[in-house]
Amino acid sequence: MASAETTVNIPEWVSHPRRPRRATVTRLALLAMMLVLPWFLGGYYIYIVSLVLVYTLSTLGMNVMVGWTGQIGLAVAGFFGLGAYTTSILHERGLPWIVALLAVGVFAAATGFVDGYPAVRLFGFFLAIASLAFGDLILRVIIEADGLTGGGGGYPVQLLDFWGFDREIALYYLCLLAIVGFMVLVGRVLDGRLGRTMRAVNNIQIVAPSLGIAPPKYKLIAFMISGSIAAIAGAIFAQLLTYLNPDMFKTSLLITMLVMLIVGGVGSIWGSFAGAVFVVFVQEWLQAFAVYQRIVFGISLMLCIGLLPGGLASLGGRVRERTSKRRERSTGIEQI
Amino acid sequence: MIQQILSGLEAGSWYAMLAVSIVIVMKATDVPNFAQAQIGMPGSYIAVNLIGKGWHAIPAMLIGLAVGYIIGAIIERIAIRPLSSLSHFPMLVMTIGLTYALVSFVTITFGSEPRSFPAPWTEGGWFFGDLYVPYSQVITILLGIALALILTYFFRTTWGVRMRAISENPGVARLLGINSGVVSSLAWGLGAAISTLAMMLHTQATLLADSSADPLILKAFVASVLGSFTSLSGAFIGGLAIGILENLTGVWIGTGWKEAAALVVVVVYLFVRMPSLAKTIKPREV
Amino acid sequence: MKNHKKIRVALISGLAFAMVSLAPISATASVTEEKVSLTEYVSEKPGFTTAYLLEGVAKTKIKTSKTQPGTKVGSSTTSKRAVKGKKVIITDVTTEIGAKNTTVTTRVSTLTRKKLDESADNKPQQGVTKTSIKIGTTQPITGVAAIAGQGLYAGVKLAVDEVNAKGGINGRLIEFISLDDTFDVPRNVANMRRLVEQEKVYAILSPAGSQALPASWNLIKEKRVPVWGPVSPADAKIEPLFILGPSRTEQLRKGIDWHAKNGCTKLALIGQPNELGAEGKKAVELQLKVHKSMKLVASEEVAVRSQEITNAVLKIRDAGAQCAVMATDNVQVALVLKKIQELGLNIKVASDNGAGGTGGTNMVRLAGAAADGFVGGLQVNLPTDLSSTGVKAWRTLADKSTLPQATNNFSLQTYTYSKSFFKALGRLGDNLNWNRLYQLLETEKVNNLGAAPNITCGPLPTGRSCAKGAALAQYNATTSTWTIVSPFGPPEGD
Repeated sequence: MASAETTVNIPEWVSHPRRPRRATVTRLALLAMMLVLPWFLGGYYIYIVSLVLVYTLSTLGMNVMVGWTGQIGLAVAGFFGLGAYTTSILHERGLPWIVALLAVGVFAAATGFVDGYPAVRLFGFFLAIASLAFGDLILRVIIEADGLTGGGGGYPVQLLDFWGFDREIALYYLCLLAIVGFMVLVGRVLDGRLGRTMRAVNNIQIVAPSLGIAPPKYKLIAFMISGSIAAIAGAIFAQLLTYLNPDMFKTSLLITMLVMLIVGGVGSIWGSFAGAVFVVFVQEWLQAFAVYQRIVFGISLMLCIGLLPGGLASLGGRVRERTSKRRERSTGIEQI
Repeated sequence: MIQQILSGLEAGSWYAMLAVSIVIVMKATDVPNFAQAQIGMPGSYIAVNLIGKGWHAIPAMLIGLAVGYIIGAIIERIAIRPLSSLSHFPMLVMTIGLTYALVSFVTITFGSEPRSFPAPWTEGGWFFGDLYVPYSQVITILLGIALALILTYFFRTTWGVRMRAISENPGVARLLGINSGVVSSLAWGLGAAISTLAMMLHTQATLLADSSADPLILKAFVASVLGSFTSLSGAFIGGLAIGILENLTGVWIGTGWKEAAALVVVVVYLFVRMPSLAKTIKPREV
Repeated sequence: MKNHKKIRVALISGLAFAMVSLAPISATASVTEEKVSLTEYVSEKPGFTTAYLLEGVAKTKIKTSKTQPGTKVGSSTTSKRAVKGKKVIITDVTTEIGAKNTTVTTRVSTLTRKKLDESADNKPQQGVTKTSIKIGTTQPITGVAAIAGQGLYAGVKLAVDEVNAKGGINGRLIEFISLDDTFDVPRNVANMRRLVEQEKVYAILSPAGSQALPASWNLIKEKRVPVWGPVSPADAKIEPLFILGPSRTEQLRKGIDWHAKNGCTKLALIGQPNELGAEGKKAVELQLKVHKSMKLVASEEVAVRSQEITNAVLKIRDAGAQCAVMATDNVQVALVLKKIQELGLNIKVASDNGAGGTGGTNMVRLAGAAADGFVGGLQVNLPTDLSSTGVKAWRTLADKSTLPQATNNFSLQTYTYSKSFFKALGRLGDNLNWNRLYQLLETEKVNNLGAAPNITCGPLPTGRSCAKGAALAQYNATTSTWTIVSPFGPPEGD
């Protein structure tokens, strides 16, 4: 009988991130560059970069689920849409946007709980199908509640007023703030007790209970965190697109997000960014030929699974490995 | 009501066939193939083209089936076998990539405009008073049943037994001299051929376009889940059940909820059956 | 590099950077007197918005005996407010002759650069140079709607090529940017944004996507880029949007009139759960008030892009419908027609030109013989009606063209729309400022020479729906032809 369990293998160097000084300097330089970007780029490109940042955030959410607890949760597109619609609806009803955002974060966590509670005992593929169905159901509810959401007709988003500043640029800084904030936060959690326990749950699922770790509890937490992050990303997305249509959140979005996750590198925080950059870049570059976009995504998915399991984020590690191997070879030390 | 049930059986037959091919591939090669419906597209397009050139429907469809088989075998050889050591999630993602690649190939070669798939049974049917039974529905349901019977018989033949052996216990099977490579090829080819048949029947009842496969795949997976991914009969009956449930939901609750029916079914099913499922799952050997 | 050297380099480059970025602020405006009036100034340098008026008043006292009223005072007058040395324009001279002294008051104005808030009237005109006008569009050239999309593209291209072949509009050639959105909503939104913000087009002609375009209305309203003749969203009643064809609602209402005329009393509606369906419901609501003997017996939904229509057809059959109107896409119309024929039902179907592909093949091709008797709405004339001058002119060009689908009904539609835009543009002269364009378009009456109903746009809120009245054409499957069965005119009850 075919087994149905699934493990997601996280490369060694991800689970023990050692951050050499070079990397921190690079990251600060990148941040500085991002901060001054609006001076150099026009409105359209700022929009594109903001989109990349939003997708980075949603991929980060996916990573918490898939990368660190090894659960194949495919409901992220549904939570993304949930965040987008709910925040916009609450905002329209008069709630200040930030408050709406926080409320949605909590609501999404609660929904994640509902999704996760029965699901955590599922394994691998069944979990994937169940979460996929759950995400789709969220979308279905959005469509059916057309009195509230406009249904298939679409929903114009009430735009945030940034006290007179240029809307595009202010939104860009909001995205930047959100993503930096979350990256730091998630990074901290990852290194902390919660994160390490989660990774342990992933790597040693069978044995964990005997160590006193209850896998379902941590998996559930992952569901909630992941849902929350995805919903917040969706809320910002709504402000960026200024118009919501259920069509935007269907399965093709999920697959795109999956591409971002895999190509970027499962389990890697910076992989989320790399993956988002890759996808948006391909979409813009092959803008005229949508069908070629799909080929590139399909082939890159297949290549990444086959040849580059750690995604783009692992390239750095591999280069480092190669160069370190070369140095060691030249000094005659054997790599055991 | 009977009208709806018949329509449900027709749609259910498509899902059932796809679900069965998913299970075959899963059992023989341990790969959850998200592209199982899309794999049936090239064969369908070729059949339509041949019919357009004047061929009679049945030979054209047989060629389509053959093309499907070949494509399945090729994909197995190039993309699946080299990666056979990977676990389910990477393979699932790989097949998602495959979905995109297949659909893009079809779009580029054949264009994305929808076209109709004419066959001798697509027009007309029997009238029983108020009840209208189109020929295509009957043919579809009969073909589904025929497929079920053929497969049952197949799995009693040598190759069928070999396939079952490999899926139960690959190590021992290989020791017994069963060539897993040939079995994999066979499974994928067979699965692809069945998918092609399902797609051809589906597009005969509606239209053939590059997006035709997308709505089917999730429901087929749901049906396979109902069979725990391991039981062919479970998957088959699951598919029929989903088809009927879908149509009845459309009538009683509303056409909008029709699409959600399959989703609700799987969510409820998994969450309810989950404890007993957990027992049947064998942890992967490390 | 030694440390102090590094600092020096940094300082110098910092200084250079500051100078370069601040430079535009100190530059002066160049003024060409004959082109400038008091209230408008068009800046030649991009990046900075225009100036505003700085009024100055000079008073000069001259001994009365030496002055005649109306004597021009020298132009070197300065005043407190006018800046010394700056070129000024004399805007007004008044002479007051008193007993002892004559006071000549001279008003002058100078122009300085100052950043204005964006909504000022004198924004520099994007998309226009001395030699070209940039026009853009986004259409589903590939994808499921490719036949329609290619036709839509061909029409605009034919019009653009025609104008350019004659030397452009007042010496400016049209630069045409066409983007493909493959009928995907997010792609369409991104394309519109790209046209407005990156390509900075002067106007957008006939973009397509009734579902996707509404997403861009906020942007369009803010940036004021004219959108002329889109296919075919509802009228959002914003300044830049001009709807040139009868709405879906109007066409469906005429379809219901047609059914009523043929004696149907039991009507069914099949629509998508979105804007399209909403327009269908509105049409039904309005026309049932007119046709008192008609009843709505069934209202069914089919999901967007879904091919599952059997349930809907069975339900309207069970409800006893004699006729139906459809607010869906063309594939669904074709499938429904086929199912109706298969079931042997006698239900007549009408729809709008988007779903029915009236005048063309993209729906009837899929329905085959089942399309016989189908009635579709028309926003423009049939592409086969060569008795009309407008259609004939288009046909001559289309037949010569190598573009795919150049001769289909969608091509006629966008050709007619684009041509009317270029006509209006020609009347604007050299200054293509949007304020002037909108003023002109609000009063413009375009005679389409029979290719489409004549357009009259007007001021908001209702003036942006420029065409009144739809037509209906019926398809004959034996001869594969469409014939007009109800000429252009408003639906009953209007």
